[in-house]
Amino acid sequence: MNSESTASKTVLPLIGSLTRSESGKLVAVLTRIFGTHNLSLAEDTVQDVLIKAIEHWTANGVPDNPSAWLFTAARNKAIDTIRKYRRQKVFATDITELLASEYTVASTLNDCFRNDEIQDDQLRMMFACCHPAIAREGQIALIMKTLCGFSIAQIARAFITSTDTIEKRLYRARNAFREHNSALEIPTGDALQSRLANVLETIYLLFNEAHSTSYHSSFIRQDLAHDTIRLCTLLTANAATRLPQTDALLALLYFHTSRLCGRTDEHGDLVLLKDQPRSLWDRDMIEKGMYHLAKAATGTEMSRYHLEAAIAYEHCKAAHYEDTDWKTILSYYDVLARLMPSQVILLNRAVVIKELQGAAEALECIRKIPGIDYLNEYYLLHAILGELNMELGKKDQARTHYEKAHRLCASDTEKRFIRKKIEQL
Amino acid sequence: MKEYLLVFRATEGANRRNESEAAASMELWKNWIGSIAQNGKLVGGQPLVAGGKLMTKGGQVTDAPFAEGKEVLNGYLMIKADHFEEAQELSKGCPIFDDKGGSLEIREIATMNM
Repeated sequence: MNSESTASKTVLPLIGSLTRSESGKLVAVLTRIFGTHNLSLAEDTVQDVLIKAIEHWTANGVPDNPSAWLFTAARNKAIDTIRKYRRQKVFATDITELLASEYTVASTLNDCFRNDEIQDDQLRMMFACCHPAIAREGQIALIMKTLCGFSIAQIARAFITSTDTIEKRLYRARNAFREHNSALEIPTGDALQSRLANVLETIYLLFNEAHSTSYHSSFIRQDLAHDTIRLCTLLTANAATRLPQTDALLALLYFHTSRLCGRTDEHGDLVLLKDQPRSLWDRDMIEKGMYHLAKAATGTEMSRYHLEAAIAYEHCKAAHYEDTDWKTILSYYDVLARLMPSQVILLNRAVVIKELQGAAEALECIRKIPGIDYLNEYYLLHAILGELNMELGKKDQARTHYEKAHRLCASDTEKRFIRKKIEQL
Repeated sequence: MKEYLLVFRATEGANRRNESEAAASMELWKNWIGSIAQNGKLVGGQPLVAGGKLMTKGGQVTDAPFAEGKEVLNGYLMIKADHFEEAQELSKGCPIFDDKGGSLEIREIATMNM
């Protein structure tokens, strides 16, 4: 086999998966070393290391431990970079003098590349990416780029937008990142609670991106779901960030992810919850979810993640759709709606009302949601209104809403699903 | 706050170590310099390669008289301190004293008033 085909057959796919699994760690540790103001230098260094790996592995074969090879190469590349720029650049302010001296540079880097440090650096990086001064969509794009190793093209596909848009978004986010993070650190004291809430919410939204069927590729969806679990697991493994709501969020992520396989059929068509073959659900994930939900049941605060995890668990628990305990689910929704009376939550609550009291009651519920007009451009509202009207035999209204849902939804999967509904009218 | 130059000398050849000794020594230097840095007192400094050249007036270059067994300059560090006593205090943990013939000279950086 010539080297060209070695590269394309073994090296490139391996680099692809290592980029996703390791580059986040490398960017985090290099940002810790070079300093938050040198985020781009850290990202460029990781790119250089990956390119060097492709060249080296293609020529000399893949090493026994490719991941360890990458970390050694990154450490050596970091030393080169520091030697090159130590007169011009300031690195992470707490260690910049130690990096500038040959007496201390190697051992300081060795300390930074210790496994426990790399774990913590990823946590610190999460807090830095989720700094409240960075726009929310920028936080998500930045996490996907730096900590999850997605390419700009992949992020653009995930958000169903252009690479141009994502590049601009990342540009602004990086500027804010540099401006507002003087160092990589986990906040302490009073700041921790609110900053952690911010991180959890960003992970939650990142997961929603994964969970929403807006994705063209189910692979990105699966990957991203597992990334959010990985990031949230880091938070539950650290004493400072291991709060009940952290475990609750992780439980929620596990419960939802356990059902990802059943959400589309072999043609890539959407399968509704009631039609999903429950044997496809990942029992192992459900058990992990239960473990973290149990751990979350301490303290006094009932967060939205507790409630959403409890609702998701009710679905996971039911052996058949008919066994679903809608009464309990409604009671959770009632508390959730008091905690955060958003239109989307009230809309989901109305779906539960349909199960318990019928379509007419559900329609009435939706009509009474304060500010429901706010959701007028939300395709799910119209998909649900279409469904409810169809059940009540109001075909004209059903058609109007389905047509609107069809126009509003972004993914082909959903469009096909709604088109089928319209044809069945 | 003043700046001080710490000049390290040791017997030439004393620093030839095997790998594990070198790693242990590196750790000692990192800990000592790290403790100075932690107090915000580190300015910088570098170790020096053994051997060198001596240049005299007229550009004449000769191998410096670094004979085996003679104490030679092998590195320097610059630190900040309020006074000589503090510089002396900060110098106490220096690993140079573990080296054969190891010594440390403390010199205050002069300010030139024109």
